Amino acid sequence: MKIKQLTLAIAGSALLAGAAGADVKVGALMAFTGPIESLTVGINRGAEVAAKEINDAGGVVGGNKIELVSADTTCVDASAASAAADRLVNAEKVAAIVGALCSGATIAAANSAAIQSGVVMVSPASTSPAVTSLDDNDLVFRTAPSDARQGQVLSDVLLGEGIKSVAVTYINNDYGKGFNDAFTAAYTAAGGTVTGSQAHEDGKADYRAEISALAAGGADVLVVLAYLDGSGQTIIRQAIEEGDFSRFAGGDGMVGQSLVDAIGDKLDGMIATQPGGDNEGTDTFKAIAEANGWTVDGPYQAEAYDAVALIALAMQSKGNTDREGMAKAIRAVAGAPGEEIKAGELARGLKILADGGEVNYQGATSVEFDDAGDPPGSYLVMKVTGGKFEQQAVVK
Amino acid sequence: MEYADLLNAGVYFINKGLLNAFKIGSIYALGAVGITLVFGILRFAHFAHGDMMTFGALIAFAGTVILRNLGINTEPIPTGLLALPLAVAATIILALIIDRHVYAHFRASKSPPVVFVMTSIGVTFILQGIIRLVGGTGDRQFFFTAVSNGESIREDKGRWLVKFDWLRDHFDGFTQKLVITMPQLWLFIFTAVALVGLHYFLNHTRTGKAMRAVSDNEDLARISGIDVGRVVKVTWVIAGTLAAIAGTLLAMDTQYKPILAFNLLLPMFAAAIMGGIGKPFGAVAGAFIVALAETFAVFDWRPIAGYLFADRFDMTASMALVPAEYKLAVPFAILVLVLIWRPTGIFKGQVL
Amino acid sequence: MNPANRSRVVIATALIIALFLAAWFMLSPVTALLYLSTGLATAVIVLGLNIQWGYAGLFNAGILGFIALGGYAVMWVSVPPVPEAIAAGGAGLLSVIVKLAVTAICIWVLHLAAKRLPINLPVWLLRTLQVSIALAGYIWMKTEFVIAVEAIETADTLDQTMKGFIGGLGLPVLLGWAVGGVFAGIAAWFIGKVTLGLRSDYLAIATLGIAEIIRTFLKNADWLTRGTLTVSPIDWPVPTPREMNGMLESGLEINLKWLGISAEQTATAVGRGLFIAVSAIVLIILVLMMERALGSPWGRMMRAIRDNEDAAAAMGKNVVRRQLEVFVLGAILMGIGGAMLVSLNTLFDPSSYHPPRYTFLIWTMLIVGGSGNNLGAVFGALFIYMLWEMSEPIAQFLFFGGADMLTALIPGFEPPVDLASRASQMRVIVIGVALIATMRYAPKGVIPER
Repeated sequence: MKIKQLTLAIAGSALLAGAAGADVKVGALMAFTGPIESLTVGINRGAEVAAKEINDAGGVVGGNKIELVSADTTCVDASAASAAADRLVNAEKVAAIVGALCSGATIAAANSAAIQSGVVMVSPASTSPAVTSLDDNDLVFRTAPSDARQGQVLSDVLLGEGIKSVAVTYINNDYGKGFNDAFTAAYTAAGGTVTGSQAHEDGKADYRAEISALAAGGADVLVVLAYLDGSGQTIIRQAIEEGDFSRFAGGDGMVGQSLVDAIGDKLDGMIATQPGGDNEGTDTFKAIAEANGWTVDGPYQAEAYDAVALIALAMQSKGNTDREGMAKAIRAVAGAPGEEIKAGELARGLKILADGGEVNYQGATSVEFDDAGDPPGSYLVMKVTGGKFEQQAVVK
Repeated sequence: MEYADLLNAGVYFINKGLLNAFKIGSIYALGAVGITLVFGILRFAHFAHGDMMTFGALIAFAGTVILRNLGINTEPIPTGLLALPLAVAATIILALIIDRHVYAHFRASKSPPVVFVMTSIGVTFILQGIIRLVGGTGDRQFFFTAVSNGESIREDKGRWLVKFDWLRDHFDGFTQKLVITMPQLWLFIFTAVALVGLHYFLNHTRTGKAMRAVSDNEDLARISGIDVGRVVKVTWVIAGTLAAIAGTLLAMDTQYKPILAFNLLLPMFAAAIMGGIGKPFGAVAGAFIVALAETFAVFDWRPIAGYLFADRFDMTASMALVPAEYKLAVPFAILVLVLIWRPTGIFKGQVL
Repeated sequence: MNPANRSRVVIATALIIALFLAAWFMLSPVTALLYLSTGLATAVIVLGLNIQWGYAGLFNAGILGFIALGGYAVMWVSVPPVPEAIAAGGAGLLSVIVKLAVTAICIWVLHLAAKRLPINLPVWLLRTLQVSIALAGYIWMKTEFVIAVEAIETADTLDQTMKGFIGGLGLPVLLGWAVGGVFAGIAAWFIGKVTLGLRSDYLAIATLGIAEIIRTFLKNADWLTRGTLTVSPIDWPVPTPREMNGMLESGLEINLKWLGISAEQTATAVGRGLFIAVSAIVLIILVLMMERALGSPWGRMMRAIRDNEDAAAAMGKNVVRRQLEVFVLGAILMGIGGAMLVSLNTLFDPSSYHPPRYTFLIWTMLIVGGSGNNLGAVFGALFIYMLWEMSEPIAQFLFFGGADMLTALIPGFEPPVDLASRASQMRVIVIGVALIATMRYAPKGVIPER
């Protein structure tokens, strides 16, 4: 932004004097206001941590520092999402965009601004199938897992545990709806019974009426497809307080220590799926975050880290910071062949690329893209035991 | 039919139906009374009321954090309650500041009600922004593990379980129980005390009577020597107090979030209007009607039918009147019906 | 136009142009064009509110319901039908519609019979009969409806972007704008019939509630609207920037260098420019029509009713009927505006519709612009929308600039890590301050009623 450069000149030009090379701007389409405002702060930090790691390693393409420029899509308002994306693409002239978060915002941003100008978007949080089938000239990627695949995985895990009947409550947005559709289809096809399935609105204080209506169906396992620091936590707590359900299951939106801390030992036995090939990448990412004074907790933060890392590695690999060729470069660094790069090894990855080598970025969530730019990825099965989410198995 | 089944059905109905409705109804009541008082005396729909509740909860949360970090733990009284006076004071001050710097000007210029409504929407915007600017956008728990002097203490929400041991011994197969958590118990106590106190205040004190007089006819009240300015201040003090209590108790029962009470605004308006504007106890009745309607519209009768008419029905489909997705729409449908049937509410409130 | 107003119009126009130019030069030309096109679509909505509130004094707080219906209509008209879903559940749905019609006709006939026939049916008996028929009809069609909906929502489709709902008509999108107005108007007729006897604040809260019901329905009736899965792309009435791109590549030559628009932004600029042209034509036609209506005997009567309902009623004016007309007219404009917005964003997402953005912000636009004055409504829409969009970059500039300055001045100062998040909260504060300041210092708005 021109005005920002102006102030920087007035306010802190001394600070910038030390920086080598020009900065390269990467857009961050976040949802600081609106229904997922509480998740967004963490997601944005995931992106910032990656940018910091890259800048500490000397930046990309001969010392260009990555500057994240954020804009607010409000998650739900398509006008705001279009305008925010347009500002990043046309005014800030970003090289690529991390985001948007909600699927509707991603579609609006891609259609209104990004695709038209050939800007790559890597969404860390849009899980809806609608993003898969977007007519996007191969410009829209996502590091977030697709609902369809995860629903299948969760269904398999539950049936494997011998759970034959469940009730489902899902957050009434693209994530919950898509996940529920996939899960219910897979679960009933494999012989399980869904005794009740309900959408709920996020941000309400009280879900007791909905929970007891679900409990009336007779299942004692509740599948909660929501976010842990929103309705998901409230629902589990109220279900336990009321004695309606004794055991829980969920998706990636529910995995986080704060859930266990808030609920306590009553949560033991909860099963959840989460994208990732092994715990190593995720653990390293958590350690990096801790080193930056922040505890990773909640969905899509590791995905945001990976999104920024991918963009940076892609720029390094093609040797410039232009928009052109970004999609191809992202595919090149995300897939084989090449040296595997995990979270925390971005400096090594940048160096290999600078020396003309190849990398296969794995990152915090085992990044991989299929033809539509989705991660076909593998999933971790997590189970709460002794006050912690413990990894049970890896499902490819 | 076994007696135990009848008992099970009855206790289930009370626990999952009535008690659930009363929990959320108490919150609605505390908010709706404030709204109806402001509506009756200042004559406008105060849209910023929900955010005043959130503001109270935020202050109470800040207070709780400070107290817990000082190592104070007073179970079974939640620390949040110790911080409540602070929240009440802060919310009262906020209400008075807003009134003095915003609404007072329009009162002086005798603006029409729509001006006040629009202004209160402006206040809502500003409050929502400030709450997030100061408190951040995250959710927060009132019950957490605090570390003070190197010692970590976990405060537990606890729970009151009424187990009916005597009944269980006498009726085989009696399995239901009543569940109330600690914050809910305090919620019921506070609601009862606040409403009884308000009733006494409005009917037996000079200021309370003055408030009722202003609510009935402001001009008449003014010429009979009532200090209307003071009445307005007292109204804000009461509305602020109730808002802070409702917000804090709601946040303790669930969790603090910036959108906490804005979502409750519409049901609370529905309650206030249903009860008749300017009628505090009409608002209470309206609040419980809204809560009961919400709860029972989505109430699934299957377990009760199961206890009473075991196996005589096909019970694979839900027996709720309305799918749970439409729960929010229920109070409004009822509100519209009430407005058509009796435009001034069930208890004949004011005509604006 | 009196002289005082003329100078205010000049100032207001200058303000809009200044904001537009600020966006053009500080951000980018195409961004400014996007702001303008969204602002124009919003202006149609605010114009609708001006008719309801400014002309007739109806306190409608259910604006978002009409906007959402308009948005649904344009989606329904312009997207193609989904043959697989119709094959799966179309017959069942048709049967439900027939049954619904039969039930409604029975209730209507009963109503007519009680009115026209010489038999004296007690009201309670009539109502009980009608409610019983409605209930019986509900039970009659419920199972079939549930089965049909299930079939539609799970039908496998070739095109994954269209899975889960019955689709639309596949007709030109401009027709969808008109149908948006029709849908909103029909809804407004029913809502007005029920609520228009209510006075000011009661009417506001009743309409607020009904809008919530409409929103909940559109969001959850997945078979009809695809719910939270959203429908895209919705077409433009003019070539979209992407289509424009294709045209430019295939030899069409347009040079906008003289406007400071770079080659890669030309397609976007031309596409948006065309959209702005169409929106502006729609808006100008509507403004002229409303101006004529306002100057006609009908308009004078409306203002008479607004200023003194009782006196107008005493003079033999049918107040409720006139108010119903104006309520429907305003809603039609809101529906058209809602359709234009959905078309512009190429996405129909029923969860978009939230009261702060689509009811309260619209009210702010009218109040700031000046209620009772169509030019004021248009000005308010453009001004507040641009302020709403531009307050984010400005707040970021102030916050980050301030943080940088403090970091430089105070050793050891660490700005809060969620600065960007906090800066985004300034948007609502700016709008709130603008609203209160207007109410206080220019209660009639920037361009008041003549």
